[in-house]
Amino acid sequence: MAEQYAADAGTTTTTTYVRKDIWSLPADDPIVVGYANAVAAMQQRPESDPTSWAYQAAMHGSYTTPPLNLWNTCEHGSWFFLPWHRMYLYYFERIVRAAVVAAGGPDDWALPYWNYTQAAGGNPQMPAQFRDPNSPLYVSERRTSPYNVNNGDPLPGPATSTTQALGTIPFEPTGQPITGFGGQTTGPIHFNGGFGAIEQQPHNVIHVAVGGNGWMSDPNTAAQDPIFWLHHANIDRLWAEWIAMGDGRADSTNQGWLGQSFSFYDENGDEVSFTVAEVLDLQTLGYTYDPAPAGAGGGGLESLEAAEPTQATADREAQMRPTELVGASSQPVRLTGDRAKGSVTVDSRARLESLGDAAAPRRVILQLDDIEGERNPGIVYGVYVNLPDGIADDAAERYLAGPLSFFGIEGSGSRADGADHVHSYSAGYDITKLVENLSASGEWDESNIDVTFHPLGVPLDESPQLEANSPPVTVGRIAVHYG
Amino acid sequence: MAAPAIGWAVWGRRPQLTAEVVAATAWLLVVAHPLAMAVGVHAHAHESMAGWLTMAAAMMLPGAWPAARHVGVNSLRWRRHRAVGEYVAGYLAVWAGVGVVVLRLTEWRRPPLAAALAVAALWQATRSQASFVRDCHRTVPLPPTGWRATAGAVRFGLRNGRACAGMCWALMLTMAVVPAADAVVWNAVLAAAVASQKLLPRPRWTSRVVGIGLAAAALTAVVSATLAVVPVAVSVGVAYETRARGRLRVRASRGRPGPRSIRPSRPPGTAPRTSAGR
Repeated sequence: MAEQYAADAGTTTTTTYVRKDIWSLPADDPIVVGYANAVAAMQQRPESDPTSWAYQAAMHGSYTTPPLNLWNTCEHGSWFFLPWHRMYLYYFERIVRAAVVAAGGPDDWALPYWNYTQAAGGNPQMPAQFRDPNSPLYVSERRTSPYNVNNGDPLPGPATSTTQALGTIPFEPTGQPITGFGGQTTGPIHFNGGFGAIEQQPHNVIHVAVGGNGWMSDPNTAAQDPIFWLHHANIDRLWAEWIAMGDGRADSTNQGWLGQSFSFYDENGDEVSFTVAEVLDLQTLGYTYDPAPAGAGGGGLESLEAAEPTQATADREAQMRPTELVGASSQPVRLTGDRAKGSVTVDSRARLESLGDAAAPRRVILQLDDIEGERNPGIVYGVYVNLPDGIADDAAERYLAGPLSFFGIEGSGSRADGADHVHSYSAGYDITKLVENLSASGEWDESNIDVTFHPLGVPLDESPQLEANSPPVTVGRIAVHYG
Repeated sequence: MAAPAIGWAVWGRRPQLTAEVVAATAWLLVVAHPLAMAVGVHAHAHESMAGWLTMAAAMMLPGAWPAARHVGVNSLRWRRHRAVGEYVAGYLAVWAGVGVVVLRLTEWRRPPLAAALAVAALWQATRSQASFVRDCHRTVPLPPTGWRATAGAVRFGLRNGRACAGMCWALMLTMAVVPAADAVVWNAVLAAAVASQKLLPRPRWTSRVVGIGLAAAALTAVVSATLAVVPVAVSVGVAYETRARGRLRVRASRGRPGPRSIRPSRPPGTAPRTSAGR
């Protein structure tokens, strides 16, 4: 199964490990069986062993104190999100491979990925092997309501969408409030930390869509679930897809990013480190994805309508434009598991100052600021703009700005005890197309913009009342920015 | 004709300008003050409320720069500078409150510099200090217009000011007891200590470095105070000697312990900017 590639000089032959879609593999495939056995073996190792399951998971996050070396080092809400997790997976994969080989499994074992995006040819059901209670890949700490992940219920479509992430062109933030594909530059001048487009969605949302009130919803327990690694392999794959899409998509060239190094443990339990610059090319890391990342034509991608070059250029220019606040809600919205609403009015003077003579904005951003909650309620909300009452789910997509989850909100709580500055939680949505569509049908009125929050997975015409005791989360402000 | 145009461009493009103007003015006054003293105008900056507030604005607003900018970019353009002004007012109101306490305290009893530095060093090591540093980065919702907008910006100033005061009240207590002649240097060093903890990544690490610097400064203050006592002791000893021999009476000179040459051993702003690790 190994795909052998001759190195350029032809003098050495190196194995390129191929990460495959889990849904393309039968349940008894050596990759799946090997992973299950390796998980069981790693779980047997003492917690103090850096190659143990517990130690590897705790490097991402843990509630166990005192923490051992390199525990709680995951990078979130930062432009280091993508490279840190790539390095983390790289060494985890080597540790698992060593365990697979030791148990007589294939020596070209590579971590599979879970493509949950149906619109891009994926499968939003938890892979079968991970739902078998007799398998080491099974974890009971997953979502049970309003859909049951371990029963094979599919994740809600909006939770799996990659459209906004892959459509985001700059890697770094270009100004308030949207943060670019890769995330907020973490440095001396940051204040309102936000997630990069790919981190917010699908990354954060999938964590909570899968986890519910279980492990995947909390950074400190997430990596204990064997599906965590397949989710992150998919995020890593989407990063490669994004690069392959071109049209100006490129990693940061900032030395502060490229030169940053992070430490991990290899399969021998030795401490090793990578700089960001060293992990930007999959070929040098010796792995690839099947199918190989090939941008819009690669098949692995959600059906982005083949944009004309002029349109792509216009999109890119629009995304580089700074945006400016033109309206915001004056009161917070409290979310307790039920449907909730807020409203925004565009201020005419601010609109004039921001747009000048232009009749319509070239870019519209919906931003949710100052989101506060002591605990992740385990609910993913759909955020809708001007959603009519009593509308059916299949007609609601045109009103959907995107999903809202609270993955990692504990880390931004007032009692959080992180090593770095903690900022309030926020989420942003590019609703330019949505506003264009609503304007065309006469459903857009700047003096009255309604924003509806409704839990994903609960039909829109039903009253949710998901969890009577859902920990409350408050969206401090709903803001609209024009560019 | 060009000047107003440039002025307008700056005004329009720097959302946090109000805070920058206040901070710059405060620094001018702080620097100008010793000069005024040199030409015979006597006033102790840290012994009046006006002086205290000027000092607080100069030392604290640079570290509050991102917060002021946050207010600016999250306000409608036409009320942006007003909103930042409201934020600064709330922020300095907290420091005025701290000033009332500190000025009363120093009027009643002026703690020795070494003691103030030691308290500041100890405070750096507490979990409460770390929690206040974290709180410095939290925001509150800013409604766009009307009285709610004013209330929001002032509330943010109060909250941010409270976090900041909790983080570095001990440093400011030190400022109230440093020798007036050295005040500007202390201003600059301690302002850097404040800003570095708020702006550099890895605040816990930075806080520790600042704490060690303060402890070293406290130790230096103690040592130099002790050294200053030596000539006195020597003189007294000599006096006793000479009296015992029944020759001359020597008056011990009254050297005053002067911690003039004290600097924190390491400028705290030099914390390496290695990582954003959390």
